[in-house]
Amino acid sequence: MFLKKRKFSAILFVLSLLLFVTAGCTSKSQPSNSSKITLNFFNQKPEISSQYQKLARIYTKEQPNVSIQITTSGQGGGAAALQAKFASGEAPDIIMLGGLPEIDRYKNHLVSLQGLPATKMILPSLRSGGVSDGRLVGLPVDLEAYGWSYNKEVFARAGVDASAIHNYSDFVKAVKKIDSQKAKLGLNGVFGFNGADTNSIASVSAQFTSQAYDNDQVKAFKSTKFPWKYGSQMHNYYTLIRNYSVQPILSVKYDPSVQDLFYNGKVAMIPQGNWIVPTLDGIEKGFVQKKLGMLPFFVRNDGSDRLLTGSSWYLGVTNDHPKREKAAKDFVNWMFTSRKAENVIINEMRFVPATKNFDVSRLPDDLSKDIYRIGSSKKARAPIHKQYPNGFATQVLGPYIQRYFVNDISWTELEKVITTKYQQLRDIQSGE
Amino acid sequence: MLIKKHQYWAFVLPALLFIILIIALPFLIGIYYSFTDSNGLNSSFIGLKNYQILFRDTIFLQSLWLTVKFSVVSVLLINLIGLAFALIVTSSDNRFNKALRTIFFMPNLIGGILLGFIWQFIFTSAFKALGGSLNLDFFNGWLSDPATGFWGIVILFVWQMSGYIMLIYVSFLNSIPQNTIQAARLDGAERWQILMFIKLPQLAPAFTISLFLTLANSFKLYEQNLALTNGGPYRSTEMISMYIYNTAFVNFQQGYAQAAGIILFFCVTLVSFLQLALSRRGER
Repeated sequence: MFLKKRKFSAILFVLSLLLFVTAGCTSKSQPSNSSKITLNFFNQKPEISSQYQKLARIYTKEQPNVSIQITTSGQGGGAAALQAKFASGEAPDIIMLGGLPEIDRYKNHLVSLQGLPATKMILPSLRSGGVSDGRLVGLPVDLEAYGWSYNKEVFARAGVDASAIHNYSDFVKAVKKIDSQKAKLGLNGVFGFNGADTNSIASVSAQFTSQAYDNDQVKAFKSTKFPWKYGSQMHNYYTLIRNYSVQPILSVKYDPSVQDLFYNGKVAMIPQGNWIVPTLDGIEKGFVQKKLGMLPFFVRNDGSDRLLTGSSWYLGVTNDHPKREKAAKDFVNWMFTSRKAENVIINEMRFVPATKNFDVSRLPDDLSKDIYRIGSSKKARAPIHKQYPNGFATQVLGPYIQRYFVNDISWTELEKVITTKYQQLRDIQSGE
Repeated sequence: MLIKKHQYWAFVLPALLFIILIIALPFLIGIYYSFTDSNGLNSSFIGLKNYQILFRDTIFLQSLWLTVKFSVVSVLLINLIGLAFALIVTSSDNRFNKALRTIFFMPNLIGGILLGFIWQFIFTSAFKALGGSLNLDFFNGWLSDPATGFWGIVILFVWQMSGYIMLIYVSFLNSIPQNTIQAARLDGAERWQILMFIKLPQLAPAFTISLFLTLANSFKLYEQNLALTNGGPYRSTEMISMYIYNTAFVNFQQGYAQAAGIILFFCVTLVSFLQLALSRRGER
């Protein structure tokens, strides 16, 4: 027998084949079809993954035959990781999506959430951010406010009253007043603008570009032109930032800008919203209630300017595993409607809920209360920077504004480049 | 009988199968995708359009040119420093030199991403403190300026690769017969004469290997780039690999990114073959 003579080579050969075959098969094997269901939840916000784990545990206690497996990937790699999941045939049941370009990419996988009780409770200004081809497929994760975060203590020591700032010239006056006392107050700059990140540049730009769409995120997503209607005010603000921010502005990164510059009172303002709340209170309990306030951008400058309120992330349910679809919907619904879930969301994630008729007094700090009041009012306006074409914020807008910050490009030139590049990206990406 | 008869294929087949499945097939599929407008999920055939747009894409050309510049600078520096290290550690056989050998090689044991973050700390925080205490403007704002950002990546890469290249030179230096060197010394040759006329000519095959390794690695550089500057400021330090990754996984223009990848492949192949042919000729 050849097996005896060439035992070694034969075994080696068979083993390697076996390895190959099993490697090809393991991904296909599925858990047996019992009554127990495991839902896969793809989360793109790493900072709240432990709170989601907690929600999952609470839910499993209520529904013992449903368990939730949370996969977290974020900080720029989330979108690519999610695509890899779909490409490898392991589509998650619940996915977190950032903006309509991402929702559009997966629209054939997403089910309509129209009938869910949670859907009826979503704030009207946030609804269109989850609509694809006329179907509502995403629910906003939370309500975020966009504007300037300011340190109340620094403002008070500089003798600036934030409640008396009503328009752009008031704002500039306040900036100049703080700047003149920089040495006395121990400030590195008036603004701690994190010029190294393109995210903040994009979210600030939304202050000026959102006005044109009147809360219609779908319209913003379809638009082939970059809206320059408030371009001159945009120019004013970015110039102000360039002149009064910590230098070198392109070295300032998000984490140090919040945890060092802002927290330690080395700057008066940073261009962030209430997503910095958990970080600040994590360093010092009560910091937010005591020292954090927010100011809007004065764009229209007619007294109607408020903080922009929107949601960067939307939750969707996929149709890749029909047997788990209902359970997935139920879990999503539960997160928006159960009081227990709400308590985790508002007290531990420190989110402002995106649902209607929420009892404001349950929110743990005054800023969150204000944000909910603005976001749930009829005049609420949502930012649209998540609807820019894929890569526009990080590859075009961010880098060109960074160039403007270091005087590498003039504003007129910048407007020209951004207009053409925006159109190009839209053209390439809208093709089906 | 079966395996005895086809012994050759029995051994080759498993490996061949894997190479075909893992390298050759994806490569061919990749070439196909470069002719499509794939966004990663859906795609349709669009012919040569991607390539036409690519050669007019200023950012692509800019990052390709940056990669070429980077490769030239880092290949020269790595080989010079690696050779210098090798000559130092082989100059005499004592404990100190053995320790040096380990120290020089150490950076190569740390992964690119980690090295990137370590050097980011050095360039931003440590340099800032240094600049502040010495009152030197030279140390301020590294990585926030295109020129210093570029040199930052060069320094990082040279620091990482020199020790590795040193090992190659060391092994070739050790294989030079001692009696040749002793004979030269008896004839009254100076140290630099021994280096120039005996050691360097015998190192020719080492140059071939080292140049090839450094060249191919610097063309493919990605994670050091990602961790240190992430292309910043304003995409001025975005090398070709990063451009391809961002086009594919940030812009989701994967067909287009694939076309850029194919062009990178041709560049690397061309440069490597040229270099190999030239240094082989030099060896003779």
